[in-house]
Amino acid sequence: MILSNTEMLPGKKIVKHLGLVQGSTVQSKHFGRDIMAGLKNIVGGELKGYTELLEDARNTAMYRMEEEAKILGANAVINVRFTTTSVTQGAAELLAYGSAVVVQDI
Amino acid sequence: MDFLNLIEDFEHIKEIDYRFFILGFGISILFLILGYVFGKIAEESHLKSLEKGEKEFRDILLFSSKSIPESGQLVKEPFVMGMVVISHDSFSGFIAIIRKLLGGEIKGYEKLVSRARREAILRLKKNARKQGSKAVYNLRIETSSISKGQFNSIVTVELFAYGTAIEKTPYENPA
Repeated sequence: MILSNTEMLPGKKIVKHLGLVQGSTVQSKHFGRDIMAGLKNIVGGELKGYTELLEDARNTAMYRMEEEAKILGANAVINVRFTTTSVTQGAAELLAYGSAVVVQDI
Repeated sequence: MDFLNLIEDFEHIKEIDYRFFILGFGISILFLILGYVFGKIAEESHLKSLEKGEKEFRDILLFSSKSIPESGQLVKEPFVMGMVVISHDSFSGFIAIIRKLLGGEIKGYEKLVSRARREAILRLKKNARKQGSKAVYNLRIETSSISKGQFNSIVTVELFAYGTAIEKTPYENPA
């Protein structure tokens, strides 16, 4: 499965469009991590817990998108985009979406 | 008699409040000083590591253009990303509150966001190198704020960079 955020893939041509695929996840902050983050806010710097959390969440969203594309029989997802929406205080939805296509080497 | 007692009670409460006020004030001052000292140290060391990293990864070119040149070869997993969540120290938050009254440029936040952006791009480059890539096309950067503490003073931002990695560009990479 090729994922890309470009419209075209070099050296490949699109033979079939299979429509939009998407994957999303809603993540909330871990209580313990929140306390640690609060302490870290005094001195500043990177909040590693949150970085990991968001990275995992993004990967989950992308994985779900990929699964959807696989079901449709695609071998690539192009034009991948991300959006983040905060659903409530302390929880965010991460959405990954793109167009599922079948590509062939030229 | 009852009335006098009441007044005494009030004075008693006042005294306690006063002490708590002093204590609270002292703690906030302590946090500000801690924030200033450790924040400065952390910032300096981060800037140093950023400079070192940027030198190391200078051979990977980034493009924000949408289309990849025809001669480009995609790597095995072309979607690369880099992200970082970063917050500033309590001292620059305090300065920012005062700055907001006067308006104008808030240097502390500016530095924070630019530092975070550099770090996110650096991580993207690291991931690109892992894939054996020399160039990343269609680079996009997203910024989202995660928390805004008391008086909107604590700023935690997330910087997220992503792009499509190819093996090499038709252009020459700097050595």
